[in-house]
Amino acid sequence: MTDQLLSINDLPIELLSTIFQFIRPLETLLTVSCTCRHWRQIINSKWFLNKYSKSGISREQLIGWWKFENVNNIGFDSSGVVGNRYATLIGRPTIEDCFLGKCAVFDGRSSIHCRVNDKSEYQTDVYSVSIWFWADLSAWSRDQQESGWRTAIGSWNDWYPNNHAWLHLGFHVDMNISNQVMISAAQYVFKCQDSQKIEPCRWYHVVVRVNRNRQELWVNGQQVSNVDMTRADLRHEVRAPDRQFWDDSQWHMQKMHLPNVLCLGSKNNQDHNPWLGKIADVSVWRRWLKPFEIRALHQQQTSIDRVKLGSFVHGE
Amino acid sequence: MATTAEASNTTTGNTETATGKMIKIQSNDGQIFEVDQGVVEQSSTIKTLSDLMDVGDVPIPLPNVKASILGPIVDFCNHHKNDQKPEPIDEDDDDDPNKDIYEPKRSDDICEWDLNFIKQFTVPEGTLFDIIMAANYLGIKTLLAVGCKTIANMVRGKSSTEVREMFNISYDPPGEGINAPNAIEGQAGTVPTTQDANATGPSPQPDPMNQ
Repeated sequence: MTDQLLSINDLPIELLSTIFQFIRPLETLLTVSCTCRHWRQIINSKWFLNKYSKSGISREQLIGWWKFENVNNIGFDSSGVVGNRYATLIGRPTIEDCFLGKCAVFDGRSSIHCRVNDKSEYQTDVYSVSIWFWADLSAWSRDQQESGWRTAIGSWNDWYPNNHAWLHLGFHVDMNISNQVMISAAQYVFKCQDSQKIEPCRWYHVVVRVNRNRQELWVNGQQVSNVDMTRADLRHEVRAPDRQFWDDSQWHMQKMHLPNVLCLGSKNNQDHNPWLGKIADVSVWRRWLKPFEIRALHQQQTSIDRVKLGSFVHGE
Repeated sequence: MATTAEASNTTTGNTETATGKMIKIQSNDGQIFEVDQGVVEQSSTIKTLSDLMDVGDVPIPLPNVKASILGPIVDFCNHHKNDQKPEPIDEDDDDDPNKDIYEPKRSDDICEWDLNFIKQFTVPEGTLFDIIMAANYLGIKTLLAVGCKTIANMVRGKSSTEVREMFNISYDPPGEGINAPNAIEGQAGTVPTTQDANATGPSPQPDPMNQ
């Protein structure tokens, strides 16, 4: 070191990179990248961004993550919020290898139930769910009880006065990939569904982003549908006996249902709409996943902990 | 002419103390500091040099560090010499399938002593960068992290204009081809209202998972 006064841009690139690694979240880093050309070049490099996102997607507000890696503990939640204590296995879900590593296999009589009614993290009307799923051809055989619905992940106990119809993500054999959310004690359902036919024995990356006012469905990295839930007239279903609870002028005050039991491989803890096929890398977030996160997950065909941001933005 | 610093927890010319062998290190302006093994262990550079050179009573020259920086570094290492050693981390081990613990790079976990320590170094005097450069040269990871986190904390919440002012960086418009990638810029909001149907970002690759 000489006696010359140092300034920040006298630091070598590796030291500036080390400093930038500590600047989180990404939004702040992007602001910082506008400081000067030198910083912008460092921050926007593939090498830096891959190192910055070494652990994949930022796990801020991750409240559930099922990787299905342990055959002796299939219901283990790697986010640490639900953990293992709350998971109950129904039937015999199994684990097998898939392109992501491991996936859970459901035979139509299996599911995993996680009680979340006492988890404050889940009592939210702002969330995202990311899931990879694969449906067996046998899932298309219409069952009178299920009416053609197959639910990969659900939390749907809707009978009045249980206002727990929070998530219903899967597909209908006629209506394709779909999610549903219920708002108000009068039980108004908002459906968000893809217009493209789902095919059996194919992997799909599906993300749903929900808040009280809006619901979006993303399939294979593209937003395929959205619903404005500020408009009561866009509801899809009314349970007639409960109309007495409906007040047209109060729609903006009507609340979205919150979850009590989160079910992997079924709609609810009565095991309705059982999944026939595989699901992998299921993650639940108390925030909206960002579009680039969703696209990167699909484009790189990987799990949330292995997304490489640098490779994604540099088109690899 | 070399002088032995008073602030170096020295003995008088001995190389053995209750804490083990003492080693002398010399700044680029000739000041000599005596440090014990607890300090040496924290600096990969000093440790390597002391292992390689049978230094005896001869000071190890540290030509990249001046005394006004080396003195506080010795203080820092003396303060931390009884800290529990962190688990060794291979920072380039991206593919370890067993490495499942998410460790975000936090900058809000600087302990109070370190916060007070780093306050003596400033941007206008350039000493904050001196200490970072010296920590890097000496291979003292804990001190390097404190310095880097301090700068990260300084820029957090500031606009790019404010950052330029803080560090006296002249405005330098971004050049062609190095704008922030469209794939992420402008989409960083938590809850976007509408989506662009013409999605930015690369197109999905061929579909190996379903072939």
